Amino acid sequence: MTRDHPGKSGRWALFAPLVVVPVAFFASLPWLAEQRNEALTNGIAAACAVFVMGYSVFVARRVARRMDEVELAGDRFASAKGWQFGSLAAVLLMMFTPINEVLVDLAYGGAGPEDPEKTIRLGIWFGIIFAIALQGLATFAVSIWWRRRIVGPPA
Amino acid sequence: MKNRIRVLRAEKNWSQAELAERVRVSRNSINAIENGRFDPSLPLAFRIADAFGLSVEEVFDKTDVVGRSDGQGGDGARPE
Repeated sequence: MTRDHPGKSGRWALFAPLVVVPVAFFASLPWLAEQRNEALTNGIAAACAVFVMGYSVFVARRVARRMDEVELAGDRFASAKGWQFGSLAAVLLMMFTPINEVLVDLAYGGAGPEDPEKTIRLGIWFGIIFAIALQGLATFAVSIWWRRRIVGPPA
Repeated sequence: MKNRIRVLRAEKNWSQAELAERVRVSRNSINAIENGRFDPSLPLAFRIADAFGLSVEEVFDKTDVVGRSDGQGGDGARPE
């Protein structure tokens, strides 16, 4: 292909912030907990979330710019079907008691027994994160399936 | 959509990678089109035909397309 692909180090540099920022955020959670400052914690969490979402859009656009029409068709197919299958899987799995209880336990453990309202809010957040994670996984799986079906197995 | 890309490549002694370079797509995409698993857009079909110095009809078999209404959905991927 004639289009300019970034080298291996360029690819690492491009994708690194998507890993580094969430890892740094989770690594700083014990320190944030020590501060006992909810505004600071919420502010940093919101800034990290906005950065990761914005940077994901930037990376996706950059990657899509180098794709040809076959690759773009695969991307569109995976995106459309991944969201559908991921949502379906999230609903079905959350109806499954053990999964449901893991999410409830996580929320309960995160909020503590003295604050039921915070437990509910955390529970909703964990549910949303679970659904989004499954949509991401489903998109990845559909993308591999489409690639194997249309393009064929890797050479 | 059936096509003669494999035969034409062989005549020119081009690899899939060489043809891909000429029409500015990936080698995998040429493989998908050549094997009839993906129908190219009109601009790409013209680029492929131009690379061989032929018309689109001489590269792609329109009898496989004319009159077809299989609800392909416009993503180019061929239904099984």
